Amino acid sequence: MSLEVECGWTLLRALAVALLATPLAMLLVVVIKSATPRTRGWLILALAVPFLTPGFVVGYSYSNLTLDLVRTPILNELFYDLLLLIEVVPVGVLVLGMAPPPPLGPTARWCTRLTGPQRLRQVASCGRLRQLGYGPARNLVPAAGLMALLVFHEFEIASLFRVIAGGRLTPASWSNALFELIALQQLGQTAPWELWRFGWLPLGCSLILLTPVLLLAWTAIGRDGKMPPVRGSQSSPAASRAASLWLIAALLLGTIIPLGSLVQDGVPGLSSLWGENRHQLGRTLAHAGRSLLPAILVASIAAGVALGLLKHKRLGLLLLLLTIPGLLGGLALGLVLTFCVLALAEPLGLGHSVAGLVLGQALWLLPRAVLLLVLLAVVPRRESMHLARLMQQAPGGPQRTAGWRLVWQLAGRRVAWMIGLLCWWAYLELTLNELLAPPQWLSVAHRMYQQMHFGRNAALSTTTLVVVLVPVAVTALLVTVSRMIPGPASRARPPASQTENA
Amino acid sequence: MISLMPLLVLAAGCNNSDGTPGSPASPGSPVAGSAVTGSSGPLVVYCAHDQAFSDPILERFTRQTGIEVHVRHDTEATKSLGLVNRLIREKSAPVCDVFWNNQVLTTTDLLPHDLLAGYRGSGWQRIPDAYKDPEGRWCGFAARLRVWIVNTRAMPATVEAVQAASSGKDLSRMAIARPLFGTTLTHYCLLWHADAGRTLKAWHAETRRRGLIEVPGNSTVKNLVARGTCDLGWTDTDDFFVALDDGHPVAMLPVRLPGGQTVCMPNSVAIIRGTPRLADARLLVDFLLSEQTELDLARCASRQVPLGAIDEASLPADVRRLRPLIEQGIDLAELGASRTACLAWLRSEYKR
Repeated sequence: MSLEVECGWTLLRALAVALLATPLAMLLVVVIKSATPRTRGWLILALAVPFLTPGFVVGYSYSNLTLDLVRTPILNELFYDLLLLIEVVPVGVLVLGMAPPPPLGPTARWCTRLTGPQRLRQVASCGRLRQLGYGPARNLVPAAGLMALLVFHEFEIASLFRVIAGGRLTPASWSNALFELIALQQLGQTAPWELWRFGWLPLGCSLILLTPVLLLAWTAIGRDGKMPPVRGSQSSPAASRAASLWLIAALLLGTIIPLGSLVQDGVPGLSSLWGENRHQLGRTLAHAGRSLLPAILVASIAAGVALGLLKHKRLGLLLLLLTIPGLLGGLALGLVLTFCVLALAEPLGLGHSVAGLVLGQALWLLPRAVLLLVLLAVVPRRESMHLARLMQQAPGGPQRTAGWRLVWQLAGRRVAWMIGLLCWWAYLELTLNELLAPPQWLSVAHRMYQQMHFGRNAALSTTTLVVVLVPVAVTALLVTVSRMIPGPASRARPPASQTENA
Repeated sequence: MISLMPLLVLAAGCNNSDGTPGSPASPGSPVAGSAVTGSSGPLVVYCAHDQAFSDPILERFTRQTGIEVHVRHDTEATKSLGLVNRLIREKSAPVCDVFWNNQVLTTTDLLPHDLLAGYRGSGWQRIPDAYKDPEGRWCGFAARLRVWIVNTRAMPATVEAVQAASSGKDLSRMAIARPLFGTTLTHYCLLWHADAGRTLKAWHAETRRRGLIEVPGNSTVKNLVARGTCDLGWTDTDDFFVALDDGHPVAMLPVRLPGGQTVCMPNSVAIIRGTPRLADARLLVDFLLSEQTELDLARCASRQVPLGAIDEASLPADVRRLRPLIEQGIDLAELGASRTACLAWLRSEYKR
């Protein structure tokens, strides 16, 4: 199958999955918004966990199942599509939940229908498509576009599921096809940049899928720098049941079964790792630790850039432009940077440098950083921060420490969580690692993923479990330690009136 | 001063203009006791051999010499071609010092690019001429064989049964790795070589029509047959032995070409020209080509067959049985032009 054909099939799959995911996301938004705050937290957690479960772990866990489906490519494709649906629905919920309400709300649409187009000439003159554009489609199209983009760029699971039965390849994946083309580029006879001859089509598709969400982001940022909340609507009991059913199924298929099977496979091996293979455990832990360090660095850079640019409304366009490379996916970004590094390697001595990887991963993380900044409301209200900073400069020790505590509560804690999440993604990132990392910087996740192509075995499951658990354990440790340290405010809590005012 | 003596001796042994050592180390312990050799930074190795088998060898090298090694492996899906392309791309500013390939063919692809430095050290000298470059730019060691893997619960592991199953109307229970990369590509090139691809092209089209299963790599072929999803397939001996050790009902038969020869694929090692860590690179090459490393690779789960002189009694029984088959192996050195043509055809076939 040529790259163009694989690109076409991938696009078709992306659109189909997005089409299915959009009503699901709409349903979930309504249910989440109408839930009590406590239930809402659980619903959001249930939604987020499958999204945060690494794709290659899911693919690896199901690799034996797909071996059994080798003669039924349609089932193989459908199962892959289901996993993708589970992965992208949370993104749709995020976009729909955060987007400003469309100018033409339900009331306006209802009035139009009641009065008839003759009476509301101005609305009628817009035409049906434009009415849609100002109405529900204003948010639905970008949400669907972003979900389709994510499906379009998925390769981790596809690569592990890919088989040809009787000349028929499933699942088609342009990323895998491009990677194979790169490997087959006539043993270096073809100049690397000539690959763009093949790459323009996926890039064009990505840009088309991306445009609606960029337009939405631009209009939203243009308004006030932050997204206004959407009024909640009541969900019916049937909708709540359907949403709960979906969340349970997604949690089961997207996280619990994959991780459960990994645990089932891997836990018996843990005792051996702890016993006779302790040096191997040490090596894996050391490699995981080494992989966390650059992840923290790039996460901090991405968070810093996003935070810095989001604070200044006039830099909105620059921020939007900077997020585009990351939104176009790791492969496109990695290829561009590979050529840049190759071109600069000799004159600037960048052949062994990690600069390309850091730049690439920071750009790749930037859209996620922006999304998290808005989602976690990391940018606090200016008045609150101003007052907290004033307290930090107070002459009295207790007041000053209370000021620090307030700053931590207003922004610091959320920034820490944001960096933690970005770090998780950077730690598990594969494409840029493969293309840009010097050998000594290759991450532990990259190493795991390469081994996963050799099929499933108990030893690899154990190591994968360790690799996935390391950042989780570090986070748990940090959270526990931060809670155990007596906070300055517990000794010198500011007067209630001060904190309330702040 | 005393601690520097081994370095000076090693440096003297390594720095002859033609790359021959002044005093070859004794086989079996080429670098034992030697220290770091004044190099800058760790040694970078591009390795197409499976991580599970290559890592312990390279770790032993580090333990014995104190030389840190950073490894970049290839994925199963783009076996060795990915690394070869990377080496060619990095020609102007090489990152890699030593290339450990899991076969010979893709290493020889680097020769026209003038990427390989000659070194005829102690390791090179113990390997038979058939498996090395006379100028020392690459050298083979520890070979695998191309084999049929058969699920013995599904069919008997006999030549007749395999022939019947592989020529039947329905091939949906037979698996091979995609022939674009790795040892399946070499296998295809050998079939191409017989009659400029005429038979291969017809066979390829016919088997696909009959439902042949193609998967990313040989290990997946092994998994399919071991789990009973498929009855038979092409793989390499190292993958076969993994399935056997896991207790699966599998047996193997050597793949034989129309002329009756077997397909033997040695690992190969080469030093990248211009490496700033030449002394360390040479140490590693001698280490990999040593009797001890060949013995380690024969004794590990992959059961690779030593090419150099070795004490037969120290080899596992499985490997001893494979040694005569290695001697019947076809000469891969003549494949150059056929390989280029076959690869071009495959590229057009899979990426049209």
